[in-house]
Amino acid sequence: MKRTLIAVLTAVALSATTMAFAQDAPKANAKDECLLVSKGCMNEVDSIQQKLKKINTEIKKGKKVYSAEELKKLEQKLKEANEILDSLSKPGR
Amino acid sequence: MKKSSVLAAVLTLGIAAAATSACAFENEFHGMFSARYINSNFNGTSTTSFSDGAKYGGDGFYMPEGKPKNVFSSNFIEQRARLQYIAKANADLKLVTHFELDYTYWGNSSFGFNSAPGVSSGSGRNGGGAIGADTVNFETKSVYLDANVAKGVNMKLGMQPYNDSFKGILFDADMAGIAFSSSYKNFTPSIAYFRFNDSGVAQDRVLGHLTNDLFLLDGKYAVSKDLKVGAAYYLFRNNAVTTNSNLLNDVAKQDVKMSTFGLNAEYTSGPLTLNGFGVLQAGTVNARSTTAWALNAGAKYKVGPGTARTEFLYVSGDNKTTGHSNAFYSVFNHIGLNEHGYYDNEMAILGRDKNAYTTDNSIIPSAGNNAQGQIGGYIGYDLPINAKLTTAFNAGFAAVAKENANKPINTKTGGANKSNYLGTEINAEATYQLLDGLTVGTRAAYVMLGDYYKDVALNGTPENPYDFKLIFKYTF
Repeated sequence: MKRTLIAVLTAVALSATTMAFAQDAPKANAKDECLLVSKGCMNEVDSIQQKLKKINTEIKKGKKVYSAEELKKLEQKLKEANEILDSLSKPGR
Repeated sequence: MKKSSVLAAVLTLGIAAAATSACAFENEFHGMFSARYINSNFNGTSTTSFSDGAKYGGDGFYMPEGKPKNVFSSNFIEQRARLQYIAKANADLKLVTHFELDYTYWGNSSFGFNSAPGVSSGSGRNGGGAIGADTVNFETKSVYLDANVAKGVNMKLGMQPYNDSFKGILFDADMAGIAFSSSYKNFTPSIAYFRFNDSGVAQDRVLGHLTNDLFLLDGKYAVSKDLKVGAAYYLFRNNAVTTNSNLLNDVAKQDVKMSTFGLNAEYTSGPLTLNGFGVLQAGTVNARSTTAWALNAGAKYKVGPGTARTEFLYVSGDNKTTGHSNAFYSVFNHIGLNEHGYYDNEMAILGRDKNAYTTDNSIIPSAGNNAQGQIGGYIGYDLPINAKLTTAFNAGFAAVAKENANKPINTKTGGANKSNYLGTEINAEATYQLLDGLTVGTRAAYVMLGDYYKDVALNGTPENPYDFKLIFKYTF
C-alpha cells in the first residue's frame, strides 16, 4: 500500500515538474502562466515588443480562457510593459 | 528497505519542488540603443548655453544675447544605450535596475581627458566618445524594489522614475523615495515621499535637516468609461544648500514651503479626447509669499487618416525681486537643471524636444521659464502612411506671461523689447521601421523668432534657429 502511495506521489511530483517546463509555449485555448503568475518562465527571453505582442494576444483570448480577475492582471502587465518601453525611450539628460 | 523508499520519495518531491520554484524566477532584460546625427544652428552651438568649459552640448537655455547673429551650424553625433534588468521573484515581487551609457558627442573625450585642451575634464558621465574610448561612463538611473505588499497595495522603494499628474510641468525624474499606490474599484489613490537632496554635509555635518523633500497625495477616479478625474496635493519643502532656479534672484541656501493643489480630467467621446488640468500653488519661497498657477487644455480628434492634436498651456510669471511673488515653482536639481518637462506640445526648439538626450536645449526649458511664465498654443497632426511609416506635423506659438529682468537687452536701444512674443515653430517628423525593434527617423524644426529677441545679438537680430536630426533607434 505504502509502495503504491510512494509511486503515485513520485509520479505526481515528476509530472508537475514536466508541466512547468512545458508551459513555455501556450496553446490557443490555454493560459500563459508565465505572463499571468511568472510560472514556467525558464526559457523566456522576450524582447519588449514580443512581450507586448504576447500580452495582447492573451488579452484577446478574453473570457473564454481567462477569468475577469486574470484579465485585469493581464491589463496590468500590459501597462507595466508599456511603462518599460516608455522608460527606455524617455528623453532628457 | 521501506525507509529508503520513503527517503527516495521525499528527495524526489524536494527536487521537484526546487525545480518548480526555479522556474518561477523570471529574469527580464530590456534595452535601447540610439545614435543620432544632429545638424543645427541651435543645439551644440554658442547660441545655447554651450559656453566655454561646458561639458555638454548646452545646459538647457537659448541665449543668443550678446553673441554674433550668425553662427556656424553644428554637425555632431550623439549616442546612448540603456540597459534594464528586472529580477522577478513572482508576480508580486521584483527588483528593477536601469543603467545608461552615453556619449554627448562622438569625439568628446577618452581616457578621462577632454579632446579640447583646457576645457572640462572629460571624465565621468557622457564621456569616452573620442578615439581610444576607455572612460568610466556607466550611469545608474534607477534601482528599486517593486512589491505588492498587501492585496491591492503596491509599494515602490528606492531610486525610481516618478512624474506628476500634470503633464510633467512640476516634476518628472528619477528620485529616491517610497511610493504606495492602490486600486479600489474605480478609485486609484497614491501616497509618496521623496528626498531630492540632502546637503547636511555642506554645513554642519548632520544629515537629514538641510534637505529638499517632496510629500504627495494623488487620487484618480473613473466616473465612467469615458470620464476620468483626478486631484493631487504636493508639498515641496526645500531647506537645502542648492539652487531652485525658479526665481529672478535665486539664493544658495533655500527656504521653500510650497503647497501645490491640482485637478485634472480626461473625457473621451468617440473620436474625440479632451484633457486638461489646473494647478494652484501657495506658500513661501525664500521668504517671499508666493501664489502661482498653471492652466492646460488638450484635445485629440481622429479625423481623416490620422489624428489632429491641440494643446494650450499658461503658467504664471513674476516681475519683481521682493514682495509677493507669482513665480511658478517646479523641481530643479542641485546644479540648476530642470527635473521636469512638458512634452505634450511636441515642440523641438520652443519646448523640450522628446528626442533630446544630453544635448537638451529649448527656448522654454522649464515651466516657470526664468520666472517669466509662459503662454503657448500648439497644433499638430499625426499621419500614419502605412504599417511601417508614420509621420507627424506640428506648429507652436509661444510668449512669456510676464516681462522681467531676465528679458534680453536690445543692443541698439539699450533696453528690453516691448514684445513678449518668443516665436513660432514648425516641425515635421517621419519614422520608418527598418527591422523588428529598429527604426530610423528624422525630425526637422524651424523657429521664426518673435520680437522678444529683436536686435539682442551683437550685430542685430539672431538668425532664426533650426534643428535637424536623423535618428537610428533599437529597442528590445
